[in-house]
Amino acid sequence: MSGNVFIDNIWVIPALPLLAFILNIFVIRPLDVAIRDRSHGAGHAEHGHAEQHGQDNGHLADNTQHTVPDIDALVEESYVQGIDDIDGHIATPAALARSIRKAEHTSGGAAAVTLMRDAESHPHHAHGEPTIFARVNGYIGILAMLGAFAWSLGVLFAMLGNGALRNGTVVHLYDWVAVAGINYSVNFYVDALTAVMLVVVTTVSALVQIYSQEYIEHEEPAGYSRFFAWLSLFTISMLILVLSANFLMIYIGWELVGLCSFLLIGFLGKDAPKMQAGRPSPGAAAMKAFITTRVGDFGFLIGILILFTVTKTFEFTAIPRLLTGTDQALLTAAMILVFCGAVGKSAQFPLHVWLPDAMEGPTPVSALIHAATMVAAGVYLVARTFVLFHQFAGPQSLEVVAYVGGFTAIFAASIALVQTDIKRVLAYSTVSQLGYMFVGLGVADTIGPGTFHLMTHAFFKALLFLGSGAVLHALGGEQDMRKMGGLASRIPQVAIPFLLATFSISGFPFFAGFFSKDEIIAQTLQHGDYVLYAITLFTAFLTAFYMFRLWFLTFGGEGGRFGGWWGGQYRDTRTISQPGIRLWLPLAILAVPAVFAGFLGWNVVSGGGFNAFISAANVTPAGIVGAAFDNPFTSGATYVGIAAAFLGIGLAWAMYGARIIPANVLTRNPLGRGIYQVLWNKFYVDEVYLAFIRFGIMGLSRIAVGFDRLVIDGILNGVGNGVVAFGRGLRRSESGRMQNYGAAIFGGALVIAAAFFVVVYFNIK
Amino acid sequence: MLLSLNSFLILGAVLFSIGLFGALSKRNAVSVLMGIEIMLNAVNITLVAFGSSVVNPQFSGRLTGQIFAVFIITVAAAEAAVALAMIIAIYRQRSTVDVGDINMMKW
Repeated sequence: MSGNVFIDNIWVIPALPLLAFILNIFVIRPLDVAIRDRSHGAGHAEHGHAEQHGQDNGHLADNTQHTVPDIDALVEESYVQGIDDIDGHIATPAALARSIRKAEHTSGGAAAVTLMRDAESHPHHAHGEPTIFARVNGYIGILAMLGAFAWSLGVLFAMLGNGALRNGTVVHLYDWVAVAGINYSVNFYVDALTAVMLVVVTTVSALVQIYSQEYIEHEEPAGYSRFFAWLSLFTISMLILVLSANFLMIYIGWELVGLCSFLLIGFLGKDAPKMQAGRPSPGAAAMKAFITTRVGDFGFLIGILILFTVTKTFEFTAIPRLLTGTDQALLTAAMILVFCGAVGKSAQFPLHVWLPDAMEGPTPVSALIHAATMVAAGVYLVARTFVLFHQFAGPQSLEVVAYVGGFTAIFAASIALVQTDIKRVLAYSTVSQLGYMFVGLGVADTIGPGTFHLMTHAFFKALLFLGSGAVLHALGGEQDMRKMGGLASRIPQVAIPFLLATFSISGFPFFAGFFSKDEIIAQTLQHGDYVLYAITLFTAFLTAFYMFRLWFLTFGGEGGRFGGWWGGQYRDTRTISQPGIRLWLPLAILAVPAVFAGFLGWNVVSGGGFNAFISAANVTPAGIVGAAFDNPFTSGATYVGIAAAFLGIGLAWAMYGARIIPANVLTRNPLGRGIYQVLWNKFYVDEVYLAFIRFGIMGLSRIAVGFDRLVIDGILNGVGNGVVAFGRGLRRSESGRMQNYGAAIFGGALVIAAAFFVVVYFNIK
Repeated sequence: MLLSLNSFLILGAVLFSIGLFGALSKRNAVSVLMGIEIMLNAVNITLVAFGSSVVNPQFSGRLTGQIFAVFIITVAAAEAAVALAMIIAIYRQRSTVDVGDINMMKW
């Protein structure tokens, strides 16, 4: 107990969205569904009326009514086929054409394909309005999130005021299982790291909830209540993850956010528009996300269990005390396994494949889960257990963290260079930036740089995603940047915050991303890791390039003002609808931290700086883990970083803004075309996995099925058949004549008597 | 000459075997019943013989075997009544008392 009212009652923070969730699912949503059913029933009544008219008018009208296909059933059918088809994961144009051709030959499939093509040529939004109860659900969710946000601020300010609180307080809620000396407690742990995460999670959650009000109203009015229920559930899970004081709780939160991610990626479900080349169905994407992260979670679980076997406890505060004297190699293995969980959740190579596909979910979900909070859970996990990585496991464990992060950073950034889907560029950018965070955790002797980038990234990437959602909303769902252009002058209320966030992520001086990224790059140099320095520096250049490529393709371009920076030619014919205040206000609010959060890490402005604040979270028995924060502008390296960012921005402007350099300058020669192909196809990682699944796992499964059919089934059926045959034989002895039975009884008695006689007579013992 | 216990036991065993042979080999249901009655009486002889030769002070002395025999006679009377009734019932149903034809007691 800390004596602080906010910290001692920390359970309020997850309890508020929990209350909203329970109210939503068990009280208000049933009412919402009941109302909708009634209006639907009215529609049916009208339909019946029309049918009566048809009968009055004779058979002809009747016939036409019967030939109208059941649209819902057809869409359902085509959706199921899409999921069934493993190719659905990677809908190459050829595979798509194949599946469409296949569908055309099935009964009813042809009609479904026609419907699909109709949907492609006339993209439409689901019509209708959310009911009054659905809206109430939205408001309750927002109120709960604002309450949680206020409480989190209370925690943060308590820590700013009282330095002792930053070292961590265990808030004991209750004992879950207490048996035979093992105590599984539900404990919350609140330290500086928790406080920062709480504020980040609740801020983004609250803003995304406000944003979703308008967004979901247009995308999926029927799922309005459900969407807010899942959002609340996600926030509860994320808060449990962030607050947990032991591996058991963090694992529960970990799996719950995975579940919510699954539910929300697949949210649009069968109402999602059209199959499209290069895009999986939401259902397939949801399954892919769930299964891919599960691969990492398996390692995470083993890592937790190794630590538990050694220490007999899950508590973060107790484990370091009990680990002294344990074999370092074992601990290194355990921590690398724990990091496997982080690799899956934070979409690091080689488990990054799910995140780009997760973009099939609604855009607010992408902003909340797949940019700001859930994918940062892996970074948070490493930061939370940083003492174990740094003090107890061998140095190899943090090297693995740093190099996986570094490789992912440059790998994902290179893919982002050529993607044309706006959300996918941002998705690969997220993967790349998460890689930066792991580099920061891996090379620095403190969690400062990694978590600092986590925080700034959460703000500017949430803003970028929400901005891309606003663009999608304005263009009726179009995601292809080749069909955009010049939007800055058409939707300036979206473009201004978007541009600020783009500057921030690109590392433009004095924007938030500049400080956090510079810190990580400086740390690699300070620790003499020149490979990672080169990687992070080059990735910074790539980041600036692809982000401004995105900016110029979407918002600027030829004919724009200031040499293509603002507005310009719009390359499509669709009308642009203006976003409402609930869409652009969250962007404007997020722009504040996206621009200014960096100053928290600059000694010149913030005194002790972010690092001093958060390093208190790394308390070991020996004291605080932490090194001094390197400050920007104290060495020449900062100016090299700024140069890289300027070079990227300048190149993007020259190629896509002013068009001084033709965009196809590199793809004219065969080598450039080859590289472009590889990048366009994301280094063929999906294809490799697909081949592995098809030939490796499916082959193994076939062998297993064969073994099962021949050997296991053979044994079981053999035993069964043997018993049946034996019984059939035995049945003959049952003649029904009781004299036979009597003979058997007395014969048996005789045998027993004879045996008894032999035993007694020969005195056998 | 005084008859020993063994003589009675041998008589009982012989009678039992005769009864068992009759019960298992005769095809007429009444004969089978008669075989069973012989077996019961063989057991009675054995019980009475044991009762008179082995004195068991804990119970009612030499009376134990006789009491058992009386019980068996009672039960045998009831059994005979039931069995004859069944035979009559079967005869009415199927016009036969040949146990070879009565093979309903199977799966």
